[in-house]
Amino acid sequence: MSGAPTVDDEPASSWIGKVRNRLERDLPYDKVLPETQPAYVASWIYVFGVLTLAALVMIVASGTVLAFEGPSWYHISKVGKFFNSLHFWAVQLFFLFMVIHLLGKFWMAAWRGNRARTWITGMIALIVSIGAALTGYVIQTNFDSQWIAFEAKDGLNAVGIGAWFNVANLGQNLLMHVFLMPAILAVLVIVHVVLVRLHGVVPPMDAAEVEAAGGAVHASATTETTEAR
Amino acid sequence: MLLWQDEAISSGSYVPWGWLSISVPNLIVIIVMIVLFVLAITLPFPKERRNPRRHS
Amino acid sequence: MSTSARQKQIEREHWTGPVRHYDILKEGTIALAVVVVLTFVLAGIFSSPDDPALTLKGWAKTAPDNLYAVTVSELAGTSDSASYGPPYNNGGDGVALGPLTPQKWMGVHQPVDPANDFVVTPLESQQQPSDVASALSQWKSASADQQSKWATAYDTALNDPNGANGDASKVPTGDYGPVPTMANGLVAMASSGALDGILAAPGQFYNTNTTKQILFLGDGSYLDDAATAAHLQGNEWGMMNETGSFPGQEWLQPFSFWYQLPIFNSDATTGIAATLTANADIYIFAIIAIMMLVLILLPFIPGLRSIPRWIPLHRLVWRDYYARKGTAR
Repeated sequence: MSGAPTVDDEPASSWIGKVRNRLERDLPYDKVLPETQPAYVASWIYVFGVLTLAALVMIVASGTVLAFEGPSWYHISKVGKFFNSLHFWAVQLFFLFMVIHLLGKFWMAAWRGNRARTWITGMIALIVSIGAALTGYVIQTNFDSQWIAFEAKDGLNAVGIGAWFNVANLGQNLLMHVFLMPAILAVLVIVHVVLVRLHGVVPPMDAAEVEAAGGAVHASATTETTEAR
Repeated sequence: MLLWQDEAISSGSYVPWGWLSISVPNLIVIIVMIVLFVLAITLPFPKERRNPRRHS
Repeated sequence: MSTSARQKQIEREHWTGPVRHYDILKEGTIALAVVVVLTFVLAGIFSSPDDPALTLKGWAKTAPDNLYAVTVSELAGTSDSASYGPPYNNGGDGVALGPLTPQKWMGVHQPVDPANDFVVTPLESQQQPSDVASALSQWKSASADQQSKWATAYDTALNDPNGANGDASKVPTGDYGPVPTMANGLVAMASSGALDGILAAPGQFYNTNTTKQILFLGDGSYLDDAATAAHLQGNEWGMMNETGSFPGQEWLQPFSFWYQLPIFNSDATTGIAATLTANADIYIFAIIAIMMLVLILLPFIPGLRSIPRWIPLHRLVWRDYYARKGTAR
């Protein structure tokens, strides 16, 4: 492997040196910020991952404005109502895009070639998002939040989660919704995206057939594997 | 005096389907999702304008 | 090398085949712009749902008899909250999945004592008319046994389907102690609006925990009727729906779906449907947990992970790339 040289070209012994070497080897800048993608990355289905991220940015931006003014502001202010609407529709789009992204990745069997961790972090991010949304729905301080808190508590209590995660407690859910849930989601999203860049976009399921038919030639098929950089 | 709490809670339309019934807005979202997915995998993606290049 | 072995190799290695220019930073910026425009348009046209919260005052105005009966049931320990069990109290066992009772295992972690928290303490926290005040001191000086006798006798008489049937004026005379006066006192307090501000944390300045308000409100018919009117009941996809003409939490569909099944939604009093309906919350959670695990671990599950190969939608996604087959040898 063509690992980037360390300062003195010797294997690092420090923790930080090992981490740096690993990053330099596995995540060089042209892998993190590539100007090209494999030729098969040519379908609208590929834009739904980045659309999901964009919707998340919009959720955080509109949510930040709502957080500054407090959870009851939007009941009495037209501007507040508009920012609440932005937050509401950004969430709808977020889940819409995420599920389409998920469907796409399923039908592409995108977990192939050591990419299972990417799939798993994505699925966990979806589950955490559902939790984040639930905490958001119960802090609306309106009829909807009253009813959702009343209904959701039974399911959570049934499995014992309700003893700690109490959807009827406005204060607890406010804090979880604006800090804990976004923090967990942010970590998951970062890991998910880094994994995508680390392994690259999954090749087509019939890539070898295309190659065999002369459609594309891969370096490693004919010659010694040398990491093309 | 505000007596809005006495007003009925607003509600949308529902599509009944045996013991399943679904709200029209939720149905629309599901249809939009399916349509978007189908379009995403069928619509042609813009071809590259410059010549495709190979990894050096 | 066989095609399938070669395929595995291609999937694992860094891609060395043909590439195309693809600016993911530009793509992200355009995506953000599209989302910003879309949310502004959707928010501008459709706004967002916001039906005002129900109040205890509204309950007292709309259904005073129900509030009265619920107050009595809180004192008698027969309300939903009083017989709920963990995590609020020991009034019930909660649900079970066979021998598994996680609700019970976790114990009482959000203590709610309906008689005191919903009725006695709120009444005590405010100056009351003299009849209510003396009823309150009679209740407080009585033994727990005596309190229970009064409340149970009145609760039974008030709800007797062949007698008063919910109408307080038709309850036959009996030894009910201070119970009717206390219930009247609480309804009066709720009508004045005072109970709304007090229930969650009587005597406290700050109030961020709304658990008691939600539970008390839910013990009556007021919240339930409003939810029924808005198609928000569990057998109509419940909280997946939204008030008004808005999409709700569709992402709860895999969860809400099970509550729609007649077997989890039955009127049976015996047999498997009765067990499943009574314990639906835990059975459905178990089903969802398994479904989630299956989805998370899908890449490792033989059969399921091959579906994309059997139903080859990937030929559509990658049709341009596959078209290279046989073009240039």
